[in-house]
Amino acid sequence: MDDLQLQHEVSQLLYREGLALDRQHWDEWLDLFTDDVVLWIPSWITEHEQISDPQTEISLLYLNGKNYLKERTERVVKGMSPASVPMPRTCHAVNNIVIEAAGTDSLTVQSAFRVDYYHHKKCYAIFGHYQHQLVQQDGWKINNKRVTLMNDLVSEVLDVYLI
Amino acid sequence: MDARVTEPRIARDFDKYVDERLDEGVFRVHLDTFRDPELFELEMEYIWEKTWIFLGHDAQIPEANDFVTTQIGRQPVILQRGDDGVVRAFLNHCTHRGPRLCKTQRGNTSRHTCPYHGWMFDSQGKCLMVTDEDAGGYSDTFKAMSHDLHQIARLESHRGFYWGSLTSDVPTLAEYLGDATVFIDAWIDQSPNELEWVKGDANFTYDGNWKMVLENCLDLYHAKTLHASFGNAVLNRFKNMGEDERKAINLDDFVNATANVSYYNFENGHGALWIHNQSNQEDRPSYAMYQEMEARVGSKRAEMMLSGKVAEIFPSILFVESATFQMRMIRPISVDKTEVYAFCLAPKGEPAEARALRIRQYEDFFSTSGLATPDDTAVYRAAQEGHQARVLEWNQGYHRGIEQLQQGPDEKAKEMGFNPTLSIHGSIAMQSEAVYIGPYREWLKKMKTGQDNALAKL
Repeated sequence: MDDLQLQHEVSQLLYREGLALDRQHWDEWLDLFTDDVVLWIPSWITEHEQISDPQTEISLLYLNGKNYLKERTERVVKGMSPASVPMPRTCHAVNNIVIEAAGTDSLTVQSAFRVDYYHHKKCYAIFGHYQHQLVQQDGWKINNKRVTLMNDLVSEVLDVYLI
Repeated sequence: MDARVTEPRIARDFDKYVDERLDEGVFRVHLDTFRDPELFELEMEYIWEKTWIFLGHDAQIPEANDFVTTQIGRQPVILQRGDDGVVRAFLNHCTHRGPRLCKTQRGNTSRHTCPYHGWMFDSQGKCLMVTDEDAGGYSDTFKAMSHDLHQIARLESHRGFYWGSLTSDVPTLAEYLGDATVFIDAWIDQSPNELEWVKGDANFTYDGNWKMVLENCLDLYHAKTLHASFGNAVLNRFKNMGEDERKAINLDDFVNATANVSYYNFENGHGALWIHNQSNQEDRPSYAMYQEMEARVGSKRAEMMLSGKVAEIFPSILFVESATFQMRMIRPISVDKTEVYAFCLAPKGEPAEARALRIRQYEDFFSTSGLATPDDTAVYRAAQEGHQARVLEWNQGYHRGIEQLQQGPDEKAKEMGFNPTLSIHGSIAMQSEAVYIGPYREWLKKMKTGQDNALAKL
């Protein structure tokens, strides 16, 4: 596969992930991940230093396994959590997509993201970097999503649909 | 000392804001306390700048020259361990023209150099250099002035927990905390080597008054309703992934009403609650060290140390243990905006598996990325919006448990040998709101005293 083709496939996957969240197509979003996916937002210790070990330090979010992702989407769907009633309108933008490491069955993809959302008649934005680990399972699946969240003083709620 | 320029002010009758008629079974707080911007300014002046405010913990500044930045009310403060090992608190303000000297939440520096004109201070706050002083044409009066950083009036620690006060007119910290230390110590003593800081910031802000998070952390009544989706998520977790999955607080205790609870008020506005006979205690991370605790402090004290409990030290800090333990520092920004700086302290020597469980429970429940706190912040906002119904003076939110109020200690407090001013004891189903009497009595006392002193200066 040539580089352009690979870049195109990877970009499409990241765009589709954002789009699935914006459209609240939760099953479509969940289908992009492997069962043993880890979704991790390390917290900050200093201005430019993040934690390195989620087992000994506090993360902003550490979900290990697709079931934990599903726990979040089901919570939204059930509508029992005031944090997501009404759901904010979200708009994911992903860019600066760089394939940093490519094996035959795995890829490390770095990108920049910005999620603008509209909630309580106000505009908010969350932004930072993604690092996706992709593996081949009948096409590329996300095995690890690490989010470097720049604006970490969270305004009331942070959840999978906002990153 | 208050540095405000004294201007005539209209005296408020603060008794109108707290309606305490316990003999008639009534306790109410006026909604203006949540929505009046001028009252917020007075709270900063009469409460936050006139009492002990929590600043930080020893474990956050272990080395010489380590510092954290924080606030007393809205005033910027540096808590720093000097190069001599002594912890001090300064206003984060260059003596010369005022820029904030420490710009980051924490760090380590032996020198504070002002970026504006280069005045330099050491980690003890001493001014080392007034830039180009000799050529400065300064008066003798200036030369006789101290240029050192302004140390706040009082700084004291209770076993590594630092409180500071902008006024010297406060009791000693020990007097201020009183018997509420029985609760604070119940966390400190979880390990023979006390507590360590678990790194990682998960702080948040919400569009609501500062008293909402204070009330919420002492409120058991909301758990069954507001956190139902948390409870459901955890139940489904066990169903889908097995009983060994990430454990959590058991909300069944609220549904089945098997546990009971003591609520306390202490002098100076502190409140606490302590849940007895809670189920699934073995799912708490602290259970890993329970045998050691029990052998060291006896079974009654160890049981208190393991139990779910909350201590609110008025007005600035909440010690909250639901499934696991979090400290929440309250920073009021405006009448309808608050920041909460949270941190995790954990017993030293905790086994790795228990520590990992503690961290997962912390994130699960307490973080704004978790399954509980975002619902709390959502209702703080909703209540702030609801309180804009300005034709209404009162809500009905402080009445549960009022008939069970007793002066002094309940049986549990007597057993442990501490003396609250008020106690309430009953089934967890009572979910008392009378625990707010103490904090609002203190609110009223500080507002009245503050106003009296301000008016006396005119």
